[in-house]
Amino acid sequence: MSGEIDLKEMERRAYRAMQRDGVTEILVGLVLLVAGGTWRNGATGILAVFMILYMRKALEYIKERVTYPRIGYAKLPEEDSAETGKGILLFMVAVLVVMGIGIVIFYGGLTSHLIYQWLPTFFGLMMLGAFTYMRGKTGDPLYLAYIAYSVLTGVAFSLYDFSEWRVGFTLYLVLLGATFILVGAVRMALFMHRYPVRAHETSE
Amino acid sequence: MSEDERRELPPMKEIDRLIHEPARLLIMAHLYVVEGADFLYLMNQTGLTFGNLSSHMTRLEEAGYIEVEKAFVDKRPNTRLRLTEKGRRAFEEYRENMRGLLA
Repeated sequence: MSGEIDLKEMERRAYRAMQRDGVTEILVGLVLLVAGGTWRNGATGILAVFMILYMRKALEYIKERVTYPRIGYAKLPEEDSAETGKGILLFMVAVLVVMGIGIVIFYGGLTSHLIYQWLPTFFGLMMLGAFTYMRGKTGDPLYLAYIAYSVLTGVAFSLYDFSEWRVGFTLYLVLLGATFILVGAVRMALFMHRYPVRAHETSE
Repeated sequence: MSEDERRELPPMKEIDRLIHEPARLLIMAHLYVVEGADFLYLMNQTGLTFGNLSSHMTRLEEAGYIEVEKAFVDKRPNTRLRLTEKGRRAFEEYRENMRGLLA
């Protein structure tokens, strides 16, 4: 035991420990994949309800079987959900306004075609917000790679001229979802290899 | 002990010796930044052995600084620990006192 006790770094280590299993990436990837296949027929609303009701339970169910037997359990401090919700909403509105103004300036107007065309960039910027938050909590530089990937592919899919308006956003969600599932699976495999299940609370 | 040394002692007396022990300080610090954690997590994070952690846990529990909850998860014993309000206050006071002492 050596070195100074840095509480902020300890908190980050706790967040990092609980995120290094790749479970979150896999679940987010699955949601994006399903959203990519459903958003055009309006079934995404059902997905959103399902997510609110079961996402946390699903996450906990997997962590109890994969994560906690290997590295132990830590209950992270609860966020003020009202404040978090307000922050997300403000960020979303700010991005919408800036993008709307940008589109009007560049194209001279705002049509439904342009809205669909720039949806991947809007979504990429939403991911930027989410991953910036996670980067702050964990201090993990991996989230910077997630940010770069989400935003750059979003912009690329917005700039590419797809034959049908909504194809770009669908493909973007599918690609992003598949990527996160893959990254999550690799992280989980490495995690399980590095941290074998430990006999609970024995001196071994 | 000289008169000067005696005058310097009062601030030192404020230091909570139970927390001042390095291993217990580490346990308290790890529990301070989360809402709760189990035995395995603390063993991993602090690098303490089972026996060491167990004995320090008992001392902190006896002082009312931590709450210990024993349960079974998948038929295996699982011990979860969290700081009590008293423990949280004691840790914050300890931090303040150390700052004051070393400033």
